[in-house]
Amino acid sequence: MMEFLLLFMRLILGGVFAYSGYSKLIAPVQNFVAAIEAYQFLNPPFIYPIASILPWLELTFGVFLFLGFLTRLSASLLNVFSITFVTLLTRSIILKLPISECGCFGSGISLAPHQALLLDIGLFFLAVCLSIFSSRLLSLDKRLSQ
Amino acid sequence: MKKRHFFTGCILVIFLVCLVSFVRYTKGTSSAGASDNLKVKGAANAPVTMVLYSDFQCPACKHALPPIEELRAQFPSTLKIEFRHYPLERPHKWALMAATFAQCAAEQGKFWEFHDKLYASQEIWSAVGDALPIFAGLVQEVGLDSQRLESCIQNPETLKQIQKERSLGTKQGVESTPTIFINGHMLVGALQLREKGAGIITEELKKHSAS
Repeated sequence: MMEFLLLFMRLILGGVFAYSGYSKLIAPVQNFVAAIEAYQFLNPPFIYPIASILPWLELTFGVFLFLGFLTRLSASLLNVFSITFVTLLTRSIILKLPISECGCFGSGISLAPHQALLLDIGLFFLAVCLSIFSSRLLSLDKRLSQ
Repeated sequence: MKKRHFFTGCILVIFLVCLVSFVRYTKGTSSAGASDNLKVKGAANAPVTMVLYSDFQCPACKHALPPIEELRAQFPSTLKIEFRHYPLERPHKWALMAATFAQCAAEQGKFWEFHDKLYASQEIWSAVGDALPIFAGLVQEVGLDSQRLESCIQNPETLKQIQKERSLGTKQGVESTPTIFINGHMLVGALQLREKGAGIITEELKKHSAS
């Protein structure tokens, strides 16, 4: 039962991050740059590199986790992403920054900062569980270690 | 076992890079065929064209107006501006209606006057339950022929033109407003326009004078 629950959590967490990365990558990078600029926490020279790299990391480790490849490592990295997003969204809400859309999923899904915050808190807990317990059911890790 | 993991990881990453590159390639970014030439200002033969995808109810679009005017003042004879509708109906319930009125003002040759009035009163009509009386007031202030306006608003071609411009914007990668293309170089929001607008125009003018 526990294995099925972990598998379900792995598919959800991996799927959300993979979709998030993919939807940003198929759009021009300027859109994600503008989304980061709205949070007002980074100096301009860092924004373009981060906007270019972060979606690739989300997609790659989202797909890795979805397939159960390097499960613990992928979950730990997505854990770091989730807590970072929770911090930034909380900060934007406290500072009342003029952000109407979180910029999390490109044009795919539109979420207000408080909705995105709830989602990221949920994802954070999934990532913590998967970092601790891992999930080997239907995983590439299990297949590769046979 | 580590070798197997390494090769599996490489194969997955290569697959993802190919997938994203393929989707980006097939999306295309053609911008031809949307303009009705009614919402353009600046010299017709200006070598630099700024295409502006905007939504009348979006506060960020209003914030982008001062940097646009600064660029127009800086490059008076070499920059022309073309407005394209991109109403975001989900967050902005009056955006499409405002775009329809503005499109009809364009058909009477008074787009920019109506555009300025709409942005100047944006906070007022955005906050009310029914913005139509305010739009009607603006129509009178600008001096539009109200009969022609009425028939234009009811003409399905007006909505079609707005939808055509919006779907072209989506094809070009527009996700939010304002999104600006300066001779094809994409900028999103007033901040990027302030930081890079003048530089891109200068580069484009250099290219133009060299060719």
